Amino acid sequence: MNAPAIKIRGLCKTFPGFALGPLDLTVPRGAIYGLIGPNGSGKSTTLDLIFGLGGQDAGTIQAAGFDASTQEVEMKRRVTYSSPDTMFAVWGKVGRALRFVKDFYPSWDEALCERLLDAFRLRREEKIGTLSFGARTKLSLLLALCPQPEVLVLDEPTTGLDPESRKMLFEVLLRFVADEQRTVLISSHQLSDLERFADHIGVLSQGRLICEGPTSELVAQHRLIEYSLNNGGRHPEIPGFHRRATASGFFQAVVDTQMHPEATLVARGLLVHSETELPLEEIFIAMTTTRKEAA
Amino acid sequence: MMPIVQNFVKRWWWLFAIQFLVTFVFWALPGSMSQRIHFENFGPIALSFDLMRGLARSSLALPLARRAFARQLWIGVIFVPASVGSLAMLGASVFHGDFSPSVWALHTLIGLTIAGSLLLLLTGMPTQPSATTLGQWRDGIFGALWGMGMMASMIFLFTGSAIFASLDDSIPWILGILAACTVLSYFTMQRMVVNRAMPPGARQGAPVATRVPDTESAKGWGLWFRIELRNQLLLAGMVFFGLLITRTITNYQRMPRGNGLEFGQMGSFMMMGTMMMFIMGIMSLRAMRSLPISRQRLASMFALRPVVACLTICLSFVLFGLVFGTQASLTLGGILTLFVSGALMAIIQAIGFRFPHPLFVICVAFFVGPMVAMYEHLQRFVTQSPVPIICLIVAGYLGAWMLHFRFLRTSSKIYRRQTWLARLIPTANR
Repeated sequence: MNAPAIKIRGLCKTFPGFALGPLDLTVPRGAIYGLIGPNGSGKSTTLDLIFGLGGQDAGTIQAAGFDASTQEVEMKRRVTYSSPDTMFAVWGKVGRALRFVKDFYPSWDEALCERLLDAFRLRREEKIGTLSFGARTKLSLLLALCPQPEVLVLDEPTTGLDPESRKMLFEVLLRFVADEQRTVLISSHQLSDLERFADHIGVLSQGRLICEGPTSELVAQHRLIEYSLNNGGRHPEIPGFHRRATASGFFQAVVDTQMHPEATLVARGLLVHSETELPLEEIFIAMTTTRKEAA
Repeated sequence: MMPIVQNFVKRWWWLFAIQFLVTFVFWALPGSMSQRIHFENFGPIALSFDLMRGLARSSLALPLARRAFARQLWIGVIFVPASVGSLAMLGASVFHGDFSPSVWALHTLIGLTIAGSLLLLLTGMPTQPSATTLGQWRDGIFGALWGMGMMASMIFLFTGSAIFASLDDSIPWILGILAACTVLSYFTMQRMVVNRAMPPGARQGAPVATRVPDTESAKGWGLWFRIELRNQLLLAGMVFFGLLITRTITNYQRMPRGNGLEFGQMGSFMMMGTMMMFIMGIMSLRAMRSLPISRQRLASMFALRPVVACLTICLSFVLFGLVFGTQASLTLGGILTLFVSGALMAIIQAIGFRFPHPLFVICVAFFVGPMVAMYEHLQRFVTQSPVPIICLIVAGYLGAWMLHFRFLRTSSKIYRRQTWLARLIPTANR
């Protein structure tokens, strides 16, 4: 099966003061796909819409090969969701929430459940209402992982987790995708984590997907350049060229070198003095800041 | 010069405006002698919402002494609604042409002590689940008393006139107890404010980890039904307890019992039951929606809950009637009315899902009045033919189902975290 794990086409959703899309997103099967974006860029809305938590204005969503609106039950048996806003407090205790949820998934892995309970230091008899925020996040993750889904959708899974738990989470996710048919779609602000673990990255800004691709390629093709202007040269105002503050007498910009090789920049009247690699976080800030300023 | 009082009034002026209007209307109604209603509980209600939204923690960081903050808040919560109620009563009495300084003064005092007593209950309300059995009992008692206090308006609707009319030996006692509670609330206020401002782990009575064996075996829908059954039993217990208290009060005051009182109570319990179902429904909505359950099934489930709650209330009334010989609840009219109410409540719940807001809570509260009035009319219809009533029930349920289904499908707002609601649920991170 080479069909994508998640395929979103023309997805639109409008709120007062915010519009998502039209959004096309393809999450390849077997990948850890990181969806990143500033606050309010539409990440959680996108993930929510996959699960029908709200109605889309337009577009189609397919997950695990099922249409999210017409085959939602079949889809949800194979695609699970963990989000910090999901509350399980009505079930009272951890054990009850587990027993309630497991019955909906024929593929529930009880051994994994026990292992994760142990690893996350959760006890079945604990009251959910008395759990800390981090512990509730862990419970939500556990409930999403134990059904052994084909696609795991995680919204801000590292929020409230200590570094040890965060590391463990990513180890669990790596084991999860070791089976090449399994996919993780993860939205997070922990870009350093995503840079290490995610195979693909999609950058969402103001409701639009502004950049997408394999993480290594995305990082490799972006460079911080220091440049000065030739006589008559002007700062380029072009996509893929994100100007930053001036430093040490030179101008700085984050450049997509695939779109704008050095020769092109020289032809535009720029003298490039240095080229430096950047972490994903810096690339993300450059992309989203420029877009915000342009808006 | 009292910034906390000023701020309290500025934020809740609309609620006090409603209090003024409602009190005025009730007191100005013809035959007002039987309509002595008090809404001074609006003050503690407003404070309870403020506390849920973190007022104590954010305000204690201000350059203001804790004692001064607690004192000002106490003044705002008690004296503002009492003054508003007093003014409304004065205006209505003059409008009605039966102004009596002694009646006005007595009811002003009653209003003041209602607000004070409720505030005392609020200071004892749990902020997170207690781990010990004793603590759970204490939390349960304070919670039940707070709920009862919320129904004080309804009780005063029918007992206020008796209090005024009889003015027998018991009145000084009742007022004395209420006044003592009001004074006590002054002293418990600071402790409550400080307790609410602290992180939960540091709070007094914070739970300690205990090991209780998890022996239940139900899962999935079986577990869901078991939890629902437990909720219904809890509701039935509350109804039975409430009826017992009212009966004790009416016996004590030698008031004639009648349909009006019982149906008024039915209305209150329906409101309470529906609110319980609403809060639990909206709390679990996001989790339920991400599970492999179809929209149709979820809509059926949510629409059915208020109807089931009303059925529980109805059965409680029947049981109480059988035990204590109350007649009104045993009529076909009573039973069918509760079903009609349940179906209509399900519609209101659906709308509450779509527009979740504290204001909805108040709207539901005001829905109780027409519901009670409706009973009298339905009673007459039922004696002629139950068919239209059954049609009304079916139409109500179907309407509720369609609204629930539609909102589950189209609305994004209902899945967003309801901050005010989340704060109702005690959790360790607050």
